[in-house]
Amino acid sequence: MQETKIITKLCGKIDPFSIESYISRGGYQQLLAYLKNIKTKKGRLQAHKKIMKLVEESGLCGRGGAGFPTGEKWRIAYQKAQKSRQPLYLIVNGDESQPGAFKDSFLMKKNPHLIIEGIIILAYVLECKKVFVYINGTFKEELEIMRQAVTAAFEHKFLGGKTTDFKERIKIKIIQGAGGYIYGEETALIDSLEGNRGEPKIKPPFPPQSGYNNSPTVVNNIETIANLVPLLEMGAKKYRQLGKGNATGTKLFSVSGAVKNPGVFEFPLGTSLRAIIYGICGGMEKGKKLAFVQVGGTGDFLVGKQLDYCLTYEKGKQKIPVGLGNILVVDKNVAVEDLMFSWSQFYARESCGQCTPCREGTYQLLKIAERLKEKKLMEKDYENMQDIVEVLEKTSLCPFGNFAAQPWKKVIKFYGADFFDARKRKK
Amino acid sequence: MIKIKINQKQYQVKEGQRILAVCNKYRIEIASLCSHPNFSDFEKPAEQDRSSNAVCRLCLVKARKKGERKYQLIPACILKATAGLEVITEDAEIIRLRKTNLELLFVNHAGLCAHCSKNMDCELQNLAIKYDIDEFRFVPRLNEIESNEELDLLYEKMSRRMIDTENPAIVRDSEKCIHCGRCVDVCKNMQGIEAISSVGKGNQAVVGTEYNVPLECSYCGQCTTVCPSGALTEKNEIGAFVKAVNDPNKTVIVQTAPAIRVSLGEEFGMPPGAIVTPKMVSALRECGADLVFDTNFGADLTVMEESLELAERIKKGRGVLPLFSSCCPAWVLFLEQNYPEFLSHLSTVRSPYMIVASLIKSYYAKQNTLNPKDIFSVAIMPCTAKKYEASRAEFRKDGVRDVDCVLTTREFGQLLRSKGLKLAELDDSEFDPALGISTSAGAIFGASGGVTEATIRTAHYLMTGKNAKEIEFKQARGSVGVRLADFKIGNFKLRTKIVYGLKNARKVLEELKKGEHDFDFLEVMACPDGCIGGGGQPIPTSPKIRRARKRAIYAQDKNMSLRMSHENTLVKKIYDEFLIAPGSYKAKKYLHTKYHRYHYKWRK
Repeated sequence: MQETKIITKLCGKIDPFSIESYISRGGYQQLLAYLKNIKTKKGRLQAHKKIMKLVEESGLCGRGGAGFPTGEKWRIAYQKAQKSRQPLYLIVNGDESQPGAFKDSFLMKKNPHLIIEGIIILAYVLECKKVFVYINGTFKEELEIMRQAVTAAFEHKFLGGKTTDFKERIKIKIIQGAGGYIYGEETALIDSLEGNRGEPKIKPPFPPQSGYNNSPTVVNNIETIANLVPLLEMGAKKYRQLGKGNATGTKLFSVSGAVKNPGVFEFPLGTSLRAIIYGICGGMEKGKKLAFVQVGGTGDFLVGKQLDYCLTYEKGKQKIPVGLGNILVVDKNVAVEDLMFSWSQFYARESCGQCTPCREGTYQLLKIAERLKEKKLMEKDYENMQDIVEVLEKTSLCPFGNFAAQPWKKVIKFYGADFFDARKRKK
Repeated sequence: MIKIKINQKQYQVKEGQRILAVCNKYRIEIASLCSHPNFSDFEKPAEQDRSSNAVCRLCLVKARKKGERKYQLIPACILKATAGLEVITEDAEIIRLRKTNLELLFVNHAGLCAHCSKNMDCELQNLAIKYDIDEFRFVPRLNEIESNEELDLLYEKMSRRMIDTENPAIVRDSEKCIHCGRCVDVCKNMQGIEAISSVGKGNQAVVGTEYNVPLECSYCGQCTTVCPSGALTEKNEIGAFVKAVNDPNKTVIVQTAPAIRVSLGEEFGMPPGAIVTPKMVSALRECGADLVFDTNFGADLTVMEESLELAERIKKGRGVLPLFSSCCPAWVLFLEQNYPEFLSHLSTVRSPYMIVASLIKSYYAKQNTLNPKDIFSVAIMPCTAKKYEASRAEFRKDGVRDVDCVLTTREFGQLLRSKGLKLAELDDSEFDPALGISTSAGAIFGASGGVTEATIRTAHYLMTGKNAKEIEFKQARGSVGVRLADFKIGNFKLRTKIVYGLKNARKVLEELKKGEHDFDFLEVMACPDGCIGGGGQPIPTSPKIRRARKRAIYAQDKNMSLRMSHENTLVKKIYDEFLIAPGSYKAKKYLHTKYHRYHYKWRK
């Protein structure tokens, strides 16, 4: 099965450092067309309505994992801003740091101008004057590319004062993230932007109602923004034809693990895991046997028939929640204890330390994983693990606590309670 | 008013009220460590009008909104009452979850109860007993030292563990901290200082100062009143007191603050606002104090000096206006640290207990031919910042400190309990008359607005030559953080601003910086409702308890015959015998002080 290249159409074909190579392949045409339409106030209102309608009709939803309908998010924030006369802020979330996810990094490296163009159009649509692009602090290359892309867009007058007849100037600020998984959570990200310690906040209020500086704020993933220009090019109807059911459009999948050809691939939503792994990824590496596949960092361990289920944002039977689209293929040579340890280490390190179950629970799980790895499990560990997983799932403040509990839940679901009994498992 | 159901029983509540507050009102017990009734006073953005950050995850309840089928787990401190809401506060699952969370919290804390000053009076301990937890179920997160490298870090005080005893007022022991965030909240939202906050992330997260330096703040001590465990406590000076009492060469002289006589009873199970002055004095004598003086008398002298200063600044234009009160050491230190440009506004008068202390080691020592070095001067205060103030260089003469030791109300209660004294059973006793006669103008210093009211009473006399017809200036009283009060003194209209909480004070100062001011006199108290809500006051504290204490303070005022400082016979006597007159060079020497810009020792 071939990739459906919508967002990644130009990736690899253009020079990310050269805006000309992007323009020569039809880049910034959508922005120029949009700018032509908004010469008058009336035209602007019409263009706004047209794009909002287009996005809502297309069924585009957030690519950051939760899958919230993008058009609705924009509408809520826009209406709130108009009503309260507060400035609206747009934050583009490039703090990709979940293990096994590298699609935003791929996009930024290969085609930064697609993102910038989307940002500028969206900023005009939402009448937003200040945009923050929050990029993971360890992404040195991406940061440089994005900074140069913004400068180039400014020099080519796609940004700044002389772009339109309107007085407003859109400012895009590239922010180097403070370095932490939790800043990918939108309220923590806003905290971090405000100069505070990033800690997820209780919702409601959601950022579209009250976010950065208590103003309505739209937080979108890099990939969501990258969808905007292709969507304008092809129209809602054509876009809807991609995908399955209500989950429309394409999704970038970062495949890692024991496949012949790992990497970032674009497929319509609704594609099956088998098609990706045994199609473009070329199947398992030589001499390795599939143990299980995991999707989204927190999903079930999948084998056999389950590989034919479709990857989607919809809930239901025979459907796999796609999350960030990170696919981990684990072969039978991998010791699951090591995997559990590395996951536990990640969650214990990256918890913000705010609420009890997550701060203390992830640490205790790490200790249990450590003992599991060294085959020094204590009698109480199984029971303790179950209790911790329960409080993490039910009582933690933000979804992160739930994520931290999932690997344990899934490993027990997959291997049974015997997984904790080293003697039994060896047989 | 709407109807909701809690545990199958109907209650009438206000819409939007938090369920935790409702449960507290109707005495339905819910375990909670991170919310605190004090927090309802904070000014927060409208969206965050809750009493906590909901981080302890102990007050979980099951709730079902009208029309919903399933119950959902949600913390009671953020759950708002809506019509038809059904709440279950305890069932097997909730208890199990709470217990696990408590055990997770307790594991970093275990093992130090017996010698903790909060022992038997500790919220965490009470919950641990109630839920019958297993203290050693998990591996401690912070106590572990895994390698020599970490041990080295511990020596360099860069470790995650920190026992800060270097600062003069507050002991911080991060080993006992359970990361509830109350102190962070109070420091940030009530005082606006942010001296402590969360440090590190994930399994390294602790509450601490930046770079783990010793605490260097205004030492208001509000964090110690909200801490549910023993992680933040006042610096204990009971030992020094007991040592001095047992030293035959030392004359131990104790003075007691206006605000402690209405709160000390709480340490012995009396209701808030019980006035225990005579019993308190005899308790001090039982503890071995040779003489007991009254800080209220110092307050009377403060009023004399401060009202003269105010009258002079207004009438003769000497010095700048507005005049700031200087009774609160936390406020003075805050100004020295953050707004040194406003120090000229600050009244140079010492705080009341420093006036009494200064007179003890000068006037009283001279009269009774005592060597100041042989006097051990103790002050019982509702305040931790006073511990800092006592250590200041300005309050030292020839190497002898004016005040040798400051005990908080809590420490005093602890001392009495350790001696087996029961306050209610003691005989009545009176202050020693040498420096112990006071008026009720001094007594109301304990509440926010009291300094202003007492000063106006005397300033009226000074500026017009006669007393005001109605001496109860009700406009100075109130429980709002920032309030304006206008007074008519003859033909002159005196505008005053009364503030409590340093965050409020900062707001007022920022306005002043811009040149906007509509007042001539500014009274600031760092703690909510003034000294009666002080950092050294009995735990627990809440707006309700503070109201009871305040009522008692004003009831005291009503019942006294002498209600104006200038009518105090002892004040007149001291001026005649020793200080000459208010504002004289001798008064300047013994009753006034100097301020200077504060240079941070540790903080970067």
